[in-house]
Order: sequence, then structure tokens, then C-alpha cells
Amino acid sequence: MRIGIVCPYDWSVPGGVKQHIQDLTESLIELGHYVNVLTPTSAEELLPSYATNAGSTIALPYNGSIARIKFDPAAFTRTRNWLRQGKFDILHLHEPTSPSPAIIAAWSARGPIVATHHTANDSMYAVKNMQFLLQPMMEKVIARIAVSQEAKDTMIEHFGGDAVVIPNGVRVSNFSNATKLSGFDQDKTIVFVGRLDEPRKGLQNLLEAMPQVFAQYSDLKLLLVGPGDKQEILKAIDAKYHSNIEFKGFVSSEVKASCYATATVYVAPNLGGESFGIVLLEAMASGTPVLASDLPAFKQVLEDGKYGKLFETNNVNDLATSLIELLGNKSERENLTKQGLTRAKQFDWSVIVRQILDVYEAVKSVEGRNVREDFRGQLYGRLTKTGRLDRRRVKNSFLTE
Amino acid sequence: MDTSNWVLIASGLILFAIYLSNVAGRLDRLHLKVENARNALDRQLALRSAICSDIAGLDLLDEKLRLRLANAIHASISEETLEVHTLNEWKIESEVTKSLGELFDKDFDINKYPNHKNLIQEAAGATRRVQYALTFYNDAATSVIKVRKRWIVRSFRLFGRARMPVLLDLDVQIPHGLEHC
Repeated sequence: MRIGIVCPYDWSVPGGVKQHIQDLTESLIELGHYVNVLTPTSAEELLPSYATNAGSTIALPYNGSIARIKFDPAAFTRTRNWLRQGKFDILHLHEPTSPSPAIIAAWSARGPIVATHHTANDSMYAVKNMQFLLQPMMEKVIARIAVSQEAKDTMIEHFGGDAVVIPNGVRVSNFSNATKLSGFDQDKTIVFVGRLDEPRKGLQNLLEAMPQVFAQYSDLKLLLVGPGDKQEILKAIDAKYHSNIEFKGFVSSEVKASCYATATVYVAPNLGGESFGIVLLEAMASGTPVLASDLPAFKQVLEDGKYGKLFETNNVNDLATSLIELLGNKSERENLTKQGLTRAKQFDWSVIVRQILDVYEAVKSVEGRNVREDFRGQLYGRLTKTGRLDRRRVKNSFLTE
Repeated sequence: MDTSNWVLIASGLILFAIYLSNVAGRLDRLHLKVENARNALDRQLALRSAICSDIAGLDLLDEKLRLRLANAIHASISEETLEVHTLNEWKIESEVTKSLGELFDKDFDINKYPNHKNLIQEAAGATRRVQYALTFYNDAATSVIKVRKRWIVRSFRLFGRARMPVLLDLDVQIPHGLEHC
């Protein structure tokens, strides 16, 4: 199958959606499909061979991350060229409502179009204001995928209709084979992964809970992995515990895997805004027991505590007691490691990619024709044959008289 | 009235006509989408029957449940070959789903059947595709119904002769035992 994927965010900036697209693309290529990704990027030389540059961008803050796009005639020409040259069987857009090349692609193409919604967020203000503009493009999308029940609910709230839920995948082998970091004791290391200065990641709560935990385990290390201001973090915690805290800063995905592998317990104190607990799956794939706040998305991944320990969201005391309990109970940790690995394997990309291919199959037969340029609604299209509606319909006794 | 008024009225009418034509065009595209989605669903249902009749022939699984599946598939295949769709079709296809659900209940473990792994995975894929195709059909049908409820569409009969699509209520639950295959 020839598949064209459109990535909404800058390829050179790491992020959940970009990671999803990269893993999906590589899994599809492994299965022998032809895939090309159209993506904005600020560093063209770093693009992998399967990606095409969607052009220079300007940054727009959107839904907590940075959407990069420039709506200029060149962007339209580039997208159309990409569509023409790709001769795709399937066009797969990601986050089609974000101001990104996905919108240009949806506007320029017709045929079997699939869209994945990643966002679970009520304040999609951009969408609310532009809905009437987006609607005609959204109607071209034949199959909609949501990465979680929450993402699906958000999508339905804004656009109605229905979507299938296919969760995010994790490349288990990248994590289960990671080497451990040197200089850390695997029985006494707690790991947090995420932006340090993003309030919804809940690091503040973890820092508030730590004195209680350090009081019980004085030689415990807290390893903070992710970009952010060290000094700000250290200010939030008593100076006598500063030696217990280590920073890793921004790391590559290999080092991140090593950090998970080193941890005694991985803590996810997130306060909300998570649509899917991919970080939990990564930790579980590394064989690390997980302690997470009981957000709906996390509860679903951990199946109400079967695959990892849960504590009440935004409750510092519950976080501290659960952490102390888990650190003191080796057999529970061993059990969670075993269970977690089973769970992570259910979300391995080799499994998830089959579900996505099933969507492609179900859609491919819908039209039986390739993705092609859409000239309808344009002056050129109105005046030429290509633009007219496709009248060659399949007879169907059910719908036509 | 002087000329400028006539020009105003005429251009207003032309704009309104363009608007109506656009809505009708959009509705036409939506109807086409529903039709295509419906054909895709029919195709996936037929594919599921074909693959699952092989499952019914596997002598490893419980015989009583296999017989139930075989009967359901037999009924569905004869139904699928008919040109006309009846309400009965959904009962028959739901029965296929139910008997698959009993055959592959939550205790089912694919690793116990290494020689038939491919076939079972294909069956899992077929049940998933049926579920997806139904979701996409209902998604498309909902959008048509929404647009057709608008007064402008009703008063100008912008839907032409196309029939109002029906939301389908069909049991397409993926069997527990096949969820992670």
C-alpha cells in the first residue's frame, strides 16, 4: 500500500504526536508498505529519508504545544506536488484541526482520507472559532481515529459523528533492552519524566511529597528527566534534600529508556490534560513499576490498578504514602514489573499497526480509488472536468430509489 | 425603482443561489460518502463470513459453539448474496458476532493454537474491520442527517431524491479473546 502521512508539528522538536507518527511510519515500512511523511521542519538535513519537508514555518502556540505553519501559496503548491507525486492509496492526517499542513492537505486532497485525533482538551478555542471553516474539510475525512476515549469524546463534542479508538503504541524492544545508567542504585531511584516547568505534569506535587519519602529513605535519589529550570525546582524543596535530587535535562530517547530502566519506581503525578498514558507504557516496557495519578487515561492504561499503582490525583499525602508503600514492598514491585511488561506488549507497535492497517483496509474499499487532488470548489475545478462531482456511482438498492 | 436597486436585488439573488448550490453540492458529497461507507460495510461483513467459516471448521475449538457459528455464518452468507437489504440482516450478522464472542471468550489464549495463529489473527482483523466500517458508516450517516435537518435544506429540497440514511444498530463487539491479537 502507498500511504501518505501528514505530521502537524515540527519534526525537529520531540513530542508525542511526532513520536507516534515516526513509530507508525517505521512499523508500516517494516511491513513492506511505501510511506511518505509530509512534515514542517526547521532542520531539513535531519529529516529521515521517508519524510518530505512541508516548508518554512512560523510558530503558533496551540493546545499547550507549538504548531508551526505558514499559510502561503508555496505551501499549497508543495502539498499538491507531494500529493501528485505520491500517488497514495491512503492519506493519513494527524491532528487535522490544528493550524498545520494537515489542514492544507485536507483541503487539497480527496479520496480515502483517514484522520487521527490526539487531543483531549476542552479548550480547543481555535477550533470553536473556526468550526464553520473546518467543517467542509472534516467532511472529506472518511475514517476518524481517536487515540483514547477522552480524545474521542473531545472530537465528538466539537464535530459530532463517531470515531474508532486505537491507542498509542510503544516500541517495547527499544525499552526492554535499554542499558541501565551507571551511578544509580536500582533499589533506590525514583524517576520523573516530562517538562519540569509544565504545571499539568504535576512535578510540584511530587516535590511536596518528597520530604515525607526522604524521611523514610534517606539515601533515595530522585531523578528528574526533562527540560526546565533547575534552580526553580530546587527552590521548591528544602536545601537539605538537594543532594538527593539529580537532573538529566533534555535527553535522547535512548537515554530516556535507560532512565526508565534504572528506576525502582516511575512516578507520573500528572494533574490532567493527558489523553493517553504513553509514558506509563514506556516505563512498563522497561520493566519498571509505575505509580500514577488516577486520571481517566491512566486508569484505563493501568486497568484500575491491575498493571500499576494508582493514587488520588492532586493529593500530595496519598502520593507520599503510596510511594513509601511501594518502595517498601519488593514483591509488589516484582509483580507490577511482570504485569506491566504483559500490558506493554499489548500496545506494542507491531500490534497497533495491524489495527491501523485494518482502518486503511476498511477505507480503501470505500472509494476504490487513490488519493488525488481536489479541484472542486476552485475556479479551475469549476471550469474543467476534473472538478465536477463523481457521478459514477455504485448502484445501491438501499439508498437510492 | 431605479437601476441600482434592481442590481442589488439581482446580485443578492445570485449570491443566494450560489449558496444553495454549495449546500446542495456538499450534501451530495455527503450522500456519496454514506453510500460508499455502506458498500464498504457490506464488503467487510462478507469478508468476515468467509474467514470465519474457516474458523468454524477448526476441530480444536468447542464443537457446540462452532456449530452455532457455522449456522450463523450460513444464514449470513445467504443473506449477503441477496440484493435487497432487510432488517433481518442485522439480526443475522449480530448472531455471527455473538457466536464469535462465545467461541473466543476472555479465557481464550491464542498462544495455545500455534498452528492456527495466522487464521485466528485474520479472524480478529475481520471482526475489527467490521466494527470500523460500521463506525465510519454511522459517522457519515450522522453528518448527513444533521445537514438534512436544517430548514434551508428541507424547504428547498436540496437533498433531491436521495433517501434519508438510517443509523445501523448492529452488534459488532470484538470478541474478548481476540482483542489483543
